[in-house]
Amino acid sequence: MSRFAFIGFAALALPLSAQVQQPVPPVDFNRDVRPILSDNCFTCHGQDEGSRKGGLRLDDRTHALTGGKTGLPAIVPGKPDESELLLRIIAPHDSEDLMPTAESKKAPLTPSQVATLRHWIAEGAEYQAHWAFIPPSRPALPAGANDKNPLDAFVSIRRTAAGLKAAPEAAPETLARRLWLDLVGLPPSPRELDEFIAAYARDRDQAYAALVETLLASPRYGEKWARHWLDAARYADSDGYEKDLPRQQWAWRDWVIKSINADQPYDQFIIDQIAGDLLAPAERDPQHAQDLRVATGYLRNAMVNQEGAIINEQYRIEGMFDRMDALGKGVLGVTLQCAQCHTHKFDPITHDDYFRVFAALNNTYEATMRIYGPEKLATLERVHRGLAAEDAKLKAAQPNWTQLLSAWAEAQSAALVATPWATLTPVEPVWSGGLAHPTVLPDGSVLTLGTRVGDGELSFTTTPKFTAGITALRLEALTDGDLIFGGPGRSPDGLFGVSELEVEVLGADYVKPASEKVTETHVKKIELAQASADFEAPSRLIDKNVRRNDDDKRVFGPSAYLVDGKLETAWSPDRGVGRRNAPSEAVVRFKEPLTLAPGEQLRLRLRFKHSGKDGQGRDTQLLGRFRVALTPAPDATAGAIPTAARLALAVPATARTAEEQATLFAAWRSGNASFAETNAAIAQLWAQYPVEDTTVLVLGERSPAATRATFRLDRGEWNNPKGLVAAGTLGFMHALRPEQAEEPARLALARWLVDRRSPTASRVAVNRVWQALFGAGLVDASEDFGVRAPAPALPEVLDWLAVEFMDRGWSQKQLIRTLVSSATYRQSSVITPELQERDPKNRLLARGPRFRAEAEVIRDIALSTSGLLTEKIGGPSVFPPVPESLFASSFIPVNFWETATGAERYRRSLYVFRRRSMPDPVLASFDAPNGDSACASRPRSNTPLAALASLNEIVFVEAAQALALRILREGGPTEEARAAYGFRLCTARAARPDEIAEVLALMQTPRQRVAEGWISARELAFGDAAKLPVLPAGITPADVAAWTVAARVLLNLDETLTKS
Amino acid sequence: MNFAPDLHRASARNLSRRWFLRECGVGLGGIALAQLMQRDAHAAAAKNPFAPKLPPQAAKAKRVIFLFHAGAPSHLDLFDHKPELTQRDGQLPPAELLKNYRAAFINPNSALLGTKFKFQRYGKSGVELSELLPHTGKIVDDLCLIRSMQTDAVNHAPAQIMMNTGSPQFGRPSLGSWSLYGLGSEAENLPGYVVLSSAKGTSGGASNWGCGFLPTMYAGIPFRASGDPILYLSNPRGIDDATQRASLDAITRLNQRSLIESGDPEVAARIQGYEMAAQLQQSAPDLMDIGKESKETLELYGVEPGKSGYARNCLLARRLIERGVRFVQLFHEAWDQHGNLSKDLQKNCRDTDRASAALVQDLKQRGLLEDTLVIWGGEFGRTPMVQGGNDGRDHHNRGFTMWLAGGGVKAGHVHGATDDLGFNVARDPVHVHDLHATILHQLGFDHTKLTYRFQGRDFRLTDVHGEVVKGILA
Repeated sequence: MSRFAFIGFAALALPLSAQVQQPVPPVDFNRDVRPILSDNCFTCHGQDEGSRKGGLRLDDRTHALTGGKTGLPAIVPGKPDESELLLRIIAPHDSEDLMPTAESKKAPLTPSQVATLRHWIAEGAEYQAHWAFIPPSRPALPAGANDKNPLDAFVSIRRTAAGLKAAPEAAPETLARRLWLDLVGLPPSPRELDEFIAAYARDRDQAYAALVETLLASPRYGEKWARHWLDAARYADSDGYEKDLPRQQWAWRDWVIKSINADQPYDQFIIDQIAGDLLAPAERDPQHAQDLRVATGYLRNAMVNQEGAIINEQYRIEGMFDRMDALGKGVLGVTLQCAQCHTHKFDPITHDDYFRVFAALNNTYEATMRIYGPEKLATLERVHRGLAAEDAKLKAAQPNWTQLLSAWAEAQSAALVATPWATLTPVEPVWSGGLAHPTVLPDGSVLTLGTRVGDGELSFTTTPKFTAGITALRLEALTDGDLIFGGPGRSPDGLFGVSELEVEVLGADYVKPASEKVTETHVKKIELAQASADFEAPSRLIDKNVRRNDDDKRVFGPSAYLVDGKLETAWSPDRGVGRRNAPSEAVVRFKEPLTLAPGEQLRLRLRFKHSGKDGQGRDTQLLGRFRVALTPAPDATAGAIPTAARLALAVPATARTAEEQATLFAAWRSGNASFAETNAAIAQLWAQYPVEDTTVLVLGERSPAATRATFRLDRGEWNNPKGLVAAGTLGFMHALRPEQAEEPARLALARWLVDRRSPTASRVAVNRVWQALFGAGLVDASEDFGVRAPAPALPEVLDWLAVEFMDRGWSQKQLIRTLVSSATYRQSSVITPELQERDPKNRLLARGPRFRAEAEVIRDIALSTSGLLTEKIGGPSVFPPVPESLFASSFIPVNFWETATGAERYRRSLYVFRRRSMPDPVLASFDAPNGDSACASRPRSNTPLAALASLNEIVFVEAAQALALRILREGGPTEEARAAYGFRLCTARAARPDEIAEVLALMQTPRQRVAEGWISARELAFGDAAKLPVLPAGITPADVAAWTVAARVLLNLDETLTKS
Repeated sequence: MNFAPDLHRASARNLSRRWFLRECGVGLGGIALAQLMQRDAHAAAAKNPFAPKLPPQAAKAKRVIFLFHAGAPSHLDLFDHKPELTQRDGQLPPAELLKNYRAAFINPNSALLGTKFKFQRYGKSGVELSELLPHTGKIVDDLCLIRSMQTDAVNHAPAQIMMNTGSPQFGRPSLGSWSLYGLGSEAENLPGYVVLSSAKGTSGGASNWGCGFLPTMYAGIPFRASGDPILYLSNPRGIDDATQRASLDAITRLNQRSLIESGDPEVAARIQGYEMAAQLQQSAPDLMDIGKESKETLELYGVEPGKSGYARNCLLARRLIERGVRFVQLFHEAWDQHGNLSKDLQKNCRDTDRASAALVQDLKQRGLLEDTLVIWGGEFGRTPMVQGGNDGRDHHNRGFTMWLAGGGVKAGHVHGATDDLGFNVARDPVHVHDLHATILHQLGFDHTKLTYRFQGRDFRLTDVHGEVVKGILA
């Protein structure tokens, strides 16, 4: 760190030992030596072989005692003057021997650092494992501890040793407000305060405990504490990057609220989010089944690039890196990100380790799933049970159904053989203009991910395996886990519309023109005759809400539309709600059999002219995955059976999945006239299938056939794969349990992350909760418990809590109960000059926490005290009113911002829509993160922009106006009583006479300005001179105006914005 | 402006003094107050990260104006004349150039496209520029062109983030944030890092001027083209100056009570935050009021009264640095010419050329250019190959042009060159990291030593890269 910065932050960065006088203990490796070695030596003499100089390692005692290439031991225990390490750091400044070298740009070690190392070597140069990498064990209670809460005993020992004393308990109204803000993120009402204060007078501890229980049981608790996890999980309501389109991800956010309210054990909370989809749901519990999948939305909170022409794989890898980073910061508490390009310089994480964890997450689809609310979920369950019952009935009536089905399957297979199909191998498929980059999969299918493209054309050339007598072509629309709902299309329903299919022969002399201005030659269009499909949907007009104009007459429908020569018509096999995300096929016959001459190639063009009016691809009709094949058979037609069944038949009978078997059963049943009654009943059931309430981005596990291999990416470059890497965990931590080795790698990783043997999992979780309550973590950098992290000032507290947390079933509510019940938490937060001098950061907790509330809490305080707050859990995020000029900073037109009105406008700030590239200006000015990456601890700034926001932003102004009315309605008959009431609403305490006088004096100004006609009372009081709500008897608009001014001041008091 | 918690700066000192005089009589013991004041002074001396700071090395530039032309302007049609490219218009590029090459949209094996614009030599230095930049031509003797820029990313958002933060991944502090972190600010009543935008929003969004892991106060503050120049600057309807003043005074006095009661220096910071907000309410409109500029100045920039846009932003940039602002960044997102290259370039140059040149000229005549570094450029360049018919170019990161002026860089100088087709750098490559190293060098920093520890690692703007481009230093 450069000199100026060091000076600038000296007071903040000084270790506690320098601030609080303590006796000098013997050299402690972790506290005294490791920081010197890691700052000055490990970059070149650490575990990263790639950057190691002179073959010397100093991070490991054995290596240090052996030495590097010079053969001289770097350290001779007990003999500093024979230790090369010491000789090199005290070498003359112009000597080549001096370490660190001039080349490293590191300053020579200071005399005190040299002394420390000398002392350490003289004492035997013992190394210690890094404290945070040794699993926590329950520390013994201090002798004679008589505190009710062991936490207090541990704090007390350290505090007393430093010569500090505990502060007295805070006043009851302060305690109440502190608990309210901490546990539910809202201030108490005057009535709730009165009740608490009265109960507290009767029995302090009982009243306090009862309040804690009430608040922990409140649904508001989940909303408050969800926000802390949402930061670490980089939650946002938009994709990020250039377009930064809105996404539907709130179902995941609501799952978090629900889990936290239900006090789901933290270990399971994490496991569900990483691998919920791989767990078996509780039987007959569709809600649980849905929740387990929704939970994996955690890893999908990563940004998604929709910029034109991106290579999807490049940004998928960026998303993977982001997932790793989020796990590192939020769960592991190690800087995994630092091992993305090379072995970690400081912590024992190798580059291979990094990719082993990466591999465990890599075998996934970036899936989108439909989400149903409780009612629809019940309907859905009824439909599924009905379908199962019908099938069961049929099977009971046809005891030999297995033989019948097998016979049918064999017959179908035999029929299929009659028409041989040769799959085409597409060469460099392109989307017109290069806006998307389709890829060819091993089975010859073409998959187009990345940028959602609107109108255009997807084309490829190919040289067929057989070239004589081609009679027909088959276009298969295929599903894929990376497509929305599995596809096969990329429309909002996973559908597609191919406007026209064209086939051309490129002559042997054909040369691809160098630019579009050059007309192509040697191209012959092939005439296509008729089309058939396995499923034909009736014709339907394009949806009203995406029509480009009133004359938009484009239609979707049967396969004939593929080859009718009209771009206004498109093939779109929509099987309806519940069944539409299935494969389909169309077979198109050539007018004349086609024979290619040597050197001739085929070119296929799929033309797409059916996207809507969006312009950002959200209403695309692109076919996400397809495959094309040719046949020489005469009279080829599509679909005696559905494509899904045909694909299932291609799988050997013994290898078919349950799903494939069900597909075949359904095909057999539905094609059999003797089952007409069952088929009719089933059709009726499908007709009841509900439309989803929302969607969410989740993980899907790739099928065995589509397993994705993971390679170590050299230098972290997405297109620079080196060695194959198998899934695993971090080598330096605890091992996988044997039974986990049998599980899917991602599930094993999930369990490993929160294994009770993990050195960091519980500490990280506990530290984050501590940080929320006390303003700073026991470990300062909540995302980094690595070797560079300073040891906590209260290590026993951290470890005791970490073990206690696990022993109490990873219950966050219990943890919070323990913390807030402590005398430590209940102390007064008044800072004496002595405390400010000796422990300004309150590391030793000789006072209670006092700090500005988080962004959301500040805004919620205004909404709550004014009475505007709408208490409703969950649902779509809400668009707050924002200044028009904010939209000018958006790359795409912001046409989705439907500013909330009425009750929705006053939802809790947790529900404010978070657009990454356009952070909410109010919340951002109070340090809310924008979700670009995981944030384990927010900074706390204090800027004039924040002051302007809470003074002038429209919702705050509306809150001041509403608060004024509330004060006038509820505050009593006198101005003094009203001022006191307003003061209490905002700060929870009784105002002093001089404070009341201050408020009343302030109101003289607006009253006078109104009286003199300078300002409009009604404009000030109601925002609009034309508006006039019903006022209490005897109250004038001028009164409301004056009180609005007072209310605005009260909402901006330090005490209102601060948890004290 | 000091956005940080302290009581150190002049305004805050006055505030304390006023408070002292007023509050002494209301029962606060003299000793306690003295202690409190002393303590705050202590805390302030250590905690004020915004106080102007001297950099560790001699600095050539005290402040920076970065004219960011987002979307990626075509170096081939503006700055880098390639007769060979014109000659080979319509031909395919040499195969060896395309090895391991990736453009964004096009198949790289597309026809070469010569420029449709004439180039000519300008000034004493005789530097060649396109006819689209006649005004830039007039100041070319003050410019240092770098015709050998290179960057890592080839998509807009990552490349803009790369140019502004040194990494294509979101989440790093921007150049302006690093500058403010390193140097503090001399602006009394304005933010130290101001962002002005014209045309449309940028691909990189707010992260282009974000502070990453640096404290929030180091983020760039956008001044808006319409409505309040700073969001929420105006008082609510019905609140006039007198009422606002009375309100702020009440907040201050009530908060002073809290300060005494709680002993928490954060309260002093809060008091100061509100006072500074009030100052901003005065100073920001004053800054934006260009009515007091002379007619000549307005004409020089081509500013039309009452109209926002790039020209006005250039003028505002000068007004900002005159007031001590450390880093001003302009964004003009309009340069992504995949098609309609000729017309759009003409329009973009009409919109910007004159004002960019005027800014340099104006700074020079006011004696500000010598210690102000002006930077002109976008996130990457454009392909020598055509996109579409015959009037578009794709993204190209292997070679492009930027220019610098003032701040101790050579004047009337061209550094580096691309090959005959404007494809690869042929001489003296300058990577984005090198540019960043050089900018920090001019501001008085060794770029390897301006660091911030986050997650146990000392992060820097240039990551582990970057060499100061000595060849452009005066």
